[in-house]
Amino acid sequence: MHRLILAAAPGWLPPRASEGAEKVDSIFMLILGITTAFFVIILVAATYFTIRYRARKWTAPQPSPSHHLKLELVWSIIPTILLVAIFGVSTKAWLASADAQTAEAATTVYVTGQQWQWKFEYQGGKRSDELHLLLNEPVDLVLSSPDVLHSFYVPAFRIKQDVVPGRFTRLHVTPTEAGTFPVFCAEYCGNDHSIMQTQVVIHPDLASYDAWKNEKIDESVPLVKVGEMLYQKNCLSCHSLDGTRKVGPTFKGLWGSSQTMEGGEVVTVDENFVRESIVEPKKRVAQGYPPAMPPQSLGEREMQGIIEYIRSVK
Amino acid sequence: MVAATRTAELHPSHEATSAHDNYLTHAHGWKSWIFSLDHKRIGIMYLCAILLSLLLGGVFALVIRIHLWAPEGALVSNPTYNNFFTLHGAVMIFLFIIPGIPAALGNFVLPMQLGAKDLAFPRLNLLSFYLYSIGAVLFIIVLAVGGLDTGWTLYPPYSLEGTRGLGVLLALTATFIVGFSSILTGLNFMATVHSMRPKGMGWFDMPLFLWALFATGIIQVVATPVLGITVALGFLERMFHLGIFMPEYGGDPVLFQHFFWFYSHPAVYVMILPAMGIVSEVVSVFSRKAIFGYRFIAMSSIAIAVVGFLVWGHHMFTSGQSKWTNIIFSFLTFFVAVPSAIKVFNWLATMYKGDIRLKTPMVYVLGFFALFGVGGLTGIFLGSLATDVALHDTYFVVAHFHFVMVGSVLTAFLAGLHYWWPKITGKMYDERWARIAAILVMVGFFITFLPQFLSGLQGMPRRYATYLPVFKPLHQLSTIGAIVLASGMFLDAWVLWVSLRRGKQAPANPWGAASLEWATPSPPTHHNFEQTPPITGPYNYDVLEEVSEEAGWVRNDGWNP
Ligand code: HEC
Ligand SMILES: [Cu+2]
Ligand SMILES: [Cu+2]
Repeated sequence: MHRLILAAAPGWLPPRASEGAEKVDSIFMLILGITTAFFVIILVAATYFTIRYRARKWTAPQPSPSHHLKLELVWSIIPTILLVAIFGVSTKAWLASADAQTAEAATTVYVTGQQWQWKFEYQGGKRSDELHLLLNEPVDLVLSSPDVLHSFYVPAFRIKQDVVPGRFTRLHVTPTEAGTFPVFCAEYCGNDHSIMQTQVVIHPDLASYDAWKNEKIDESVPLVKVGEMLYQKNCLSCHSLDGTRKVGPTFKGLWGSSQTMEGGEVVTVDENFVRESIVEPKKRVAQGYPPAMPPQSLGEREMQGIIEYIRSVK
Repeated sequence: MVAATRTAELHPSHEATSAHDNYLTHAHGWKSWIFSLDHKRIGIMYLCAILLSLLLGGVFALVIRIHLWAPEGALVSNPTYNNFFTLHGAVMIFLFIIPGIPAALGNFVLPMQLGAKDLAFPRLNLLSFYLYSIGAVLFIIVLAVGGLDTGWTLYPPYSLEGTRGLGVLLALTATFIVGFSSILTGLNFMATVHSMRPKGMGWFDMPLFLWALFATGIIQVVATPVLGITVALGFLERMFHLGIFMPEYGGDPVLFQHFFWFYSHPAVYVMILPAMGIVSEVVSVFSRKAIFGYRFIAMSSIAIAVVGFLVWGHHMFTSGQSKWTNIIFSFLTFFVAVPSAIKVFNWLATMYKGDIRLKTPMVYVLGFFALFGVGGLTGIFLGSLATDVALHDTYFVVAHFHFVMVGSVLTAFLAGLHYWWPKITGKMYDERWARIAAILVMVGFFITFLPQFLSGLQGMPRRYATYLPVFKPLHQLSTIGAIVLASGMFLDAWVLWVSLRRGKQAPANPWGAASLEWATPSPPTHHNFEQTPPITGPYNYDVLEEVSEEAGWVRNDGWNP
């Protein structure tokens, strides 16, 4: 049945990439159908009556009853029945996914929502800023926050779960579509709430997933290259290379220059300042910029790489 | 000399209206206003304050919409944007929509619909206006001390962080004070309806607007204290770290959400019930037919007020609350939909075989049917668990509540304002231009908010200062709609302003309405009635005859002001 409804679903619904998404959409379409019918009844009646009974001069209104118990019961009871039916169908679908929540999946990913980025840590110690999942492989996401409320929202999964400081919340998902889909923070969390976005990457097969999971930055890659890759992944959104001002200052000509901090202190950009900017960005904040840079934990070689890279951007 | 001519200019019609002594000419000078115990003058002061708040909130809304013209934000920085959406919400909700219909129009009309001289507690009424004004001024001070960027929902931990300045403390205080203003108004209205109905007017002989205000009063008196408690606890938490809401002191942020929505969901009915009351009046008068199913409408107001207390958890389906909590709240939420549906069908049935005149208030009410239809029906998507989990905190929700709180309530407020305008001011406005403004407002509204359902469905989260470029066309459409909406509002303001200065003198009963506020001159005398008019029933149009467009309608039982 719900396949049939889904076939009628218009193209403006976002892609569906999880087990629950199809059910949600079929319920959405069901409610859309019923509510549209009611809306049309209201519109047609209002329009028809307005035209048909528009006042003309010298006509008194025709006599008509001012109440009619049977009619009133009919239009009280029919909506009630429909509403209870919608409630039943919707709750059943939701319960199925809520009960699945208690199932133990083979894999768990710890999700940290913090002002203003998402962090994912996998069993085995791998960390990432994008969520990587394997097609058709159920996974438990365990969410927590070190600061304020956030909400983990993946439109393609049709799910959302608040991330509450001081407790863990969880989600159980089975991805059903390979590809890359946006992840948003849906609960307002301060200044850069709107850039608290990332992606979920769903690998089509184990080979591709493992390749990602075992990917290490190869010792043979030169430091500048390591830095460049990191820059592309973690810094590009806020720091430009060509002198334009984004959220943060440009990297062009940054190395060795003197920068004024909030409070007036002038520092020279050297290795230790760059490290401090990355590990503890709020300690000294560049003048005229918001304290929006998220702290990052980088390995030692990655740190060297990014320093080498910033040095190279003239 | 100069001052004298200016006063004469400002009151050009002074001679014309002083034909009878009315509540406007009864006393002079600013003191006669701010110390007035006359419900009509207090209503007018409320009306001015509320319209100013609407203007302020509307300017914030325009800044938001213009900023969102571009995905990377066209106007302001992210933190500034956050201030704007917070203050837009706070001002519109606490200073405009909640007090809008009851405190401004209700204040003016309620005693007159009872054939009474004033509310039960005139002094209390003035006090609640003072409290409202103090709260409003505090909100303005919040702006001056650097604003507030917590969202009007004030969710901790963010809102109560130790590093915050004065803004949030002031906002909590302002909310507390405005809350008391609302409680006192509700109390006053309930007491008045209970004790001051004239002989011959039983509960079921009251105009439905009074039922609506009575039901609203129940909510105001029962729910608003919880808002007071919530913001007071928030204040204490911020000052003394009691460990109620903040996890770092051992508190629970989700507890705050329960408290907050225990008030704020019923608050939606504080907005919509009086709006429905206005619709009931207008649809009956301009169809020249007794309202269909009076008892069902009256009782559905009370049902909404009662069931409305039991559904707050539907704002928290994704907060991590327990499975059963979610199911029960979803179930109850479906039940609030029933009384609303009943009302809509009753209104439509009232039009059946009527004698429908498309005056401005009726134009607004026809728009209301469409707007409230969309707003109410989209609520079903959000009460249903499976779909809410996807749609919660997206633009779908933004569109839904704007359809209910702005589309429906603002439209009904404007319907009421135009309906009672001749009574309040003694002037007729230009029908043609007022209707054009009404259509602009409603068309602008649809253009603004319909696209937001789509972008919400596609995943656009709310409260975003910047967004993914895929959402750009829909956002731009919204912005264009907002400009149309705003121009409609300004046009309407102009129409009303012109009517004040050059409007024709209004007859006592220009629309042919049967409730008692029309059985007194326009504008009413200081005491409303010299003696209580005979009660003929609020929707009994058989006793009325139209004399002419200018002279309006008169009662054929010979009782006329
Ligand atoms: C969310 C946006 C954002 C991201 C992502 C980001 N930064 Fe920043 N960064 C900023 C902002 C804003 C500032 C200026 C305020 C400050 O000093 O904290 C800044 C400042 C800096 C500074 C100091 C510059 C100065 O003139 O003082 C360095 C160095 C830096 N970032 C390096 C990086 C590196 C390396 C990365 C990637 C690993 C990165 N940033 C990622 C926003 C960001
Ligand atoms: Cu956020
Ligand atoms: Cu609600």
